Amino acid sequence: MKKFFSSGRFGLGVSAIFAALSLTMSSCSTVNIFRHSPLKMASYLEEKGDTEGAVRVLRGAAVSPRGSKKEKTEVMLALSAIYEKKNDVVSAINVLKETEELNKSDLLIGMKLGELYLKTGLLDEAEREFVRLEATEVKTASLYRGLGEIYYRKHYFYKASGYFSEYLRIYPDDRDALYKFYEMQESLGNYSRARSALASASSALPEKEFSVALAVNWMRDNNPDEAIEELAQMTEKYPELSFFMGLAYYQKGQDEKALEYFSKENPQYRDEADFFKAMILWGSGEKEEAAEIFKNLSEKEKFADYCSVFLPPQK
Amino acid sequence: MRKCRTSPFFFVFLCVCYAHSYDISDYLNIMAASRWKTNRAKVALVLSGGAARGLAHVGVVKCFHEKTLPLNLVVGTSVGALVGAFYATGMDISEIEKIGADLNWNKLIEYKITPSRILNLTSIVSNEKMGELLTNYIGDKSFSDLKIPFICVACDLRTGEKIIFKEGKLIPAVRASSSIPGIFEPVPYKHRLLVDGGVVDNVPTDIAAEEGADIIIASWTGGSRVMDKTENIIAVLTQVISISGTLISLQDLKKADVVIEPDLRDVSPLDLDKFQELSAAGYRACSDKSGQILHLFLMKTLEKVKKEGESH
Repeated sequence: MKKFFSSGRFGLGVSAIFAALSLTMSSCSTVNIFRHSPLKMASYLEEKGDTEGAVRVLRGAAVSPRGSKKEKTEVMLALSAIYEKKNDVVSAINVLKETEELNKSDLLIGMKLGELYLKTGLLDEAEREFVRLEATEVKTASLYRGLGEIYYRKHYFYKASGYFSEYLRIYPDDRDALYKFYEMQESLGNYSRARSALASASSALPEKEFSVALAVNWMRDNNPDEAIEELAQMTEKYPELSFFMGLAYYQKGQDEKALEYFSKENPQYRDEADFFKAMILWGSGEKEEAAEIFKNLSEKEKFADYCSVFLPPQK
Repeated sequence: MRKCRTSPFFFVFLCVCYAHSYDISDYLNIMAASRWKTNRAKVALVLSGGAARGLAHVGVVKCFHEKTLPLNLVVGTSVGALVGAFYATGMDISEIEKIGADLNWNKLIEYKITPSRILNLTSIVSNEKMGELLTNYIGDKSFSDLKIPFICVACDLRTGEKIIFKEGKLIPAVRASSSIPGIFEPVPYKHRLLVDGGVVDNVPTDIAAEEGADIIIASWTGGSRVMDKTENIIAVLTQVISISGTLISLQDLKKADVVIEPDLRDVSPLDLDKFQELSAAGYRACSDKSGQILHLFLMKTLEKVKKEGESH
């Protein structure tokens, strides 16, 4: 062995290896290694504020005959992202559509396309894209959230709730999702489920809004006592909430107590409080006083029809 | 489960401000469901005939369910009786949708025509499969078992009388009400021979009124489309029935406070395979009217509250 290392044959072998390596490197350098990556170039240009330049580079790379399908996909995704940043969502969508054509098996492209459609308000297109992904057994938080959001906006609350439930299993603290889930459950009449979603989303709401939402939920669930308990301390801090306190007492049938709250100074809910005050007066036989209130309120559009019931027909 | 790179916080940009605004109608609705419960306006949903087009009623009942629209009575004729009965049993909407999506003529009919029998036939197809379908989903239920009061209409083929079902076993009533004459066999019932109620009353708003409904909502899937060419015998028969049904329905529709009319211009009474399209059209049409229905409900409820106050 020693003989081998000390002989001239070892030096000859090493030289041959170096020669082969340098040949490989030089051939690589002509093809790829020292060629600037379009992604890096675009990133550099974008950093320098030359977005148009970045778009040109990526566009060029996208149509270039060189580069693998994977590289082109990455280039086009980057191009779409730049368009999105520029708020040119139409171009971003068009690039993503081209990318999808190029690489149908990449589910990320479909997901991004769905998200962009959703962002633009193209709900049917977004739904089509997400449903296609769902059919390929994609089960991700983004997909659940995407489909949930679409059906939420379309007011298909049952369907939306199912997807939101799945999403909330993955991200149980997403307050936006929790709040929407609460709204949908409330609308579907599932008051108890709505309440727990509301409680989980409570930190996203100002104290006053939360209290009102919870009190209204209890009233919808035909439980005015809980609503009163919820509002009891809040009305001291926020006197305008006295309207809701009055409403809960009215629901309970405690008209005197309700009247007391409806009569409190309350510019924010004055009309609503007056309407129910008139209802109490009308019910207790003080019809003239009630009619006067109904007449005044009937000049306001949202009260006009309801007040007209208690007013003599107009000639 | 396939993996997919995701951007789970993409939706952050969708965040809205969380202040929910309430409206006077919200407060009135709360009272209508509690303090004014005894004065609540009674709402009837009348589901018309229309063969396959009537599957749009599935979307309509889904909308009533999802939007928690007030509903006290369902009245149906023909396919309206079928959908109405399923809904009135308390069946889950997704299950009704599944039944609708699975329907096809091969599942419903059993051809009876053979050259030697042709002159003795009472219908083109047998009712057995329809009977099986009803038995599978409705079972032995009676009208009194229903979650929502339900009434359906049939016609006595012998006398032309309108037969109203509101008690007894559900299956014979629904089967009779949905037996399109000439296509399905008439249903013998007691001393009568019954066919589709659409022959005499395709939108039974009058029954809803007789039952004391304060608000009548008609879901109308009748109407006759333009028949471009002479199609098969069933198409001809259903077209004849829809033309006569439309004519007799016009007066009945005037009795409805709200008419839900799904856009079915491209759907024939035979298009059972278009369930998704039909159901979506029904849902859309009902959603468009949901605000009006709720407003009317609150107005009528207030009128009843007022009336009660006046009598004290």
